[in-house]
Amino acid sequence: MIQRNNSYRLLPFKFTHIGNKELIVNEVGDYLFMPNGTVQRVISGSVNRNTEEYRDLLSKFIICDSYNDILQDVIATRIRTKKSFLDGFTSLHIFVLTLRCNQKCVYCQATSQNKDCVNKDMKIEDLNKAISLMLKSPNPHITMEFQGGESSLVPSLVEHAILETERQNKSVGKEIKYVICTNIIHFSEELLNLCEKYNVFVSTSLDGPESIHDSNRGVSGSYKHFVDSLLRIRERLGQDRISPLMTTSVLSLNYPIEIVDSYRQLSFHYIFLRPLNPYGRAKENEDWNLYFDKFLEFYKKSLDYILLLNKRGEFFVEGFTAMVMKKILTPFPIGFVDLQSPAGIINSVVVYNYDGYVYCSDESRMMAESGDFTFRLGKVSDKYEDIFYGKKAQALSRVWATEYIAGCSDCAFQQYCGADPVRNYSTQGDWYGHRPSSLFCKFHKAVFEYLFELIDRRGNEVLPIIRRWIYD
Amino acid sequence: MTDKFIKGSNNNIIYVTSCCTNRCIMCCQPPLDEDDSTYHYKRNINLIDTADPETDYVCITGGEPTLSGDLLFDYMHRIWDKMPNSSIHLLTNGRSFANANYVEKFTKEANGKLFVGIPLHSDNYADHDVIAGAKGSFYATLKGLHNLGILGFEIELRVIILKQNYKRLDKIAEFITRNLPFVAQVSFMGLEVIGYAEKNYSKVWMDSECFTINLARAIDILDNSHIQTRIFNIPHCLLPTALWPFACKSISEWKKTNLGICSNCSMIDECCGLFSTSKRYSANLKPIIR
Ligand code: SF4
Ligand code: SF4
Ligand code: SF4
Repeated sequence: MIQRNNSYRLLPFKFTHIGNKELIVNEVGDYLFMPNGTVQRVISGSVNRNTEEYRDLLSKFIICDSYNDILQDVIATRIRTKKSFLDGFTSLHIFVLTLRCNQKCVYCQATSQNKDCVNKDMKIEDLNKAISLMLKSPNPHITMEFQGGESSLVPSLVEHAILETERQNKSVGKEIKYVICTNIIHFSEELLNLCEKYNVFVSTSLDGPESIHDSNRGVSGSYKHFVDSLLRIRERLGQDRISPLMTTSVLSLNYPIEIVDSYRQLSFHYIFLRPLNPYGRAKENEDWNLYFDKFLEFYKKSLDYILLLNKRGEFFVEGFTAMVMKKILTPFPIGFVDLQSPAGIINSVVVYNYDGYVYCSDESRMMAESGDFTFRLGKVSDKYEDIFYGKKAQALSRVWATEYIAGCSDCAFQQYCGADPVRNYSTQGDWYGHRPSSLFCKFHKAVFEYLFELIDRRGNEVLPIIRRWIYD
Repeated sequence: MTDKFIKGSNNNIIYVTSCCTNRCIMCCQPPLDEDDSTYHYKRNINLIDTADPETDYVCITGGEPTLSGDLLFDYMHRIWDKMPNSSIHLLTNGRSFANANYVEKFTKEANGKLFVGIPLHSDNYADHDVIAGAKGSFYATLKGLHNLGILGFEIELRVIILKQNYKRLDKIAEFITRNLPFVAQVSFMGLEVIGYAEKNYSKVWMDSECFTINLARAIDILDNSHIQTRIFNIPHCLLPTALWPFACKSISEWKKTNLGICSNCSMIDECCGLFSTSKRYSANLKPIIR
């Protein structure tokens, strides 16, 4: 509560240098790009009231002339809105029905098993109990996602899961959205019927043109099967009922334009440029620092190309940019669990694994495959409260928000970033993490800096495009 | 003003009172200090009683209508009773809604189709309070907007373009997307040069050539953020063609006029025209020949 001669007051803000400017960000994510030296003048009370600068600072709630109740109410509403993703508690419930798979992806994060392997499917009793737990979530809107392994190898389990959920939900009455994650290599009629009947959304993966896709899959002919199934699924379920995820393998890094074009070729208008995660088999991959540096270049090239397409009149969305920019440009939260504070684990997502245990996140259950059960929350037969509000959840809650962990608490990007104790643990060995040496931090900082530079240099040109993505 | 309310007219107006808590520097109906609501009462009741029951639009204005206490609710009920299909457009500076008790009472009484029009003059209190001629008005209006927004009322924000705010139209738009994303419509309005606007002409008037670039940016921000946006009282010949889709035929027939040059204009049927009441017009009017 500093008050200087000029009598305006400071509201909480953070700042950083980008290029030769200062980026000032307030408590609710409003930002200002100002010439170097602005922060010094702001805090010394020497901003002149007759300037546009003074008005900018007022408008972005960085200074005010008096602390009043209404200003406080407005900011409180803003914070409530930003954090409204917490209102309903866990919304995404992932079911790992099997660990078996029919592909051998080079970056596989699920450390999947051969398709004929035994004992890697979820038991019916465990599945039923997991469904009861899911329906205990206070959230009225639930997404139930079937993952693997390859979930299309266990169509009868998928069917049972849906029927059992429908049955149990009769007395509960939640709105449930089903998603099946599958490589669609063998997508049977039986599964198509099921998807049609229960409005199941198909989430799949496409890594680029045939050569890249097949090389990443470790199985030849994969792309051809993919395209066949894609057409069948679209015809039966509709154009918008299937969407792919892209994973950037080391090979992919060299093809930023070709990968985008391969999506356009198959009439997709959306791509999510996603780096590898240092989990599972991906962990052994190579030097992560180098990988992320290269990924950043890949991301910039792809994004630039996509922006150009949009300028030429084609509507094509880059999902990662849209997510981050939604945090920067709007008062609303996003449904992207990697960039949330408090973290996405438990608050937004939870995983019921084939082994009958409940885990914090996808990454947590993958760690369990290599014998590390740190993020196991309990057994599906445990009480809801003991899993979701238990000792482990409580301990995690002490380190899962950017607002109070060292490094993040005074970072200018705090409002746009997220906390991830699971990744801290897997890459740095402890939940709390060490920001100066964290790759997650380095990577996200670089992305934020790049996007803010983009806003500064080419705002009038690119912001209209990006706003259309956000509100699409 | 009309003598009979009819269906399809945007000129069905209940003028409640000349009192106001603001003293806007461009007010076209300069407020009085004494309460004249009883003076207007008889005429208003007569307008409602004789109205065509099919009337679909009634505007309640002032001054500040909420200052008339229960009288406002009396009018609203009578309007909805007599003209059940009508939507009431309540023009208010929004400050009364900062008061929780008033909002509670208003919510109970306002049980028909309603659209609340509230002016927002700036993205910062310093400019807004100067334009509104009243200290504290920005925050009171902001709080009023939030209270109405939380309760789900349909809100129209009105931004009257002036010398005091034309440079910040894009910033006002951004402020709205961040702090008032729940509003149903934002209306950018050209100035009617009567009342205080005439008296303060050189202080408030800004010719459109100085603000159209900023206005286009503002509209782009709001439109891309899915907030419906409209332009009122600015003729087509003063707007870049990209903004034509947002321009409304806003000026009601009884105070609308065209100049001699307009007769050659191909947009005369789409254009909002000019205020016959305005004492001055832009020097840049010129017919659009296609
Ligand atoms: S992780 Fe890094 S970039 Fe993100 S908020 Fe923390 S310090 Fe800032
Ligand atoms: S709020 Fe309306 S009536 Fe009151 S002074 Fe301003 S323009 Fe005039
Ligand atoms: S010339 Fe007259 S009719 Fe044509 S756009 Fe201008 S004001 Fe309207």
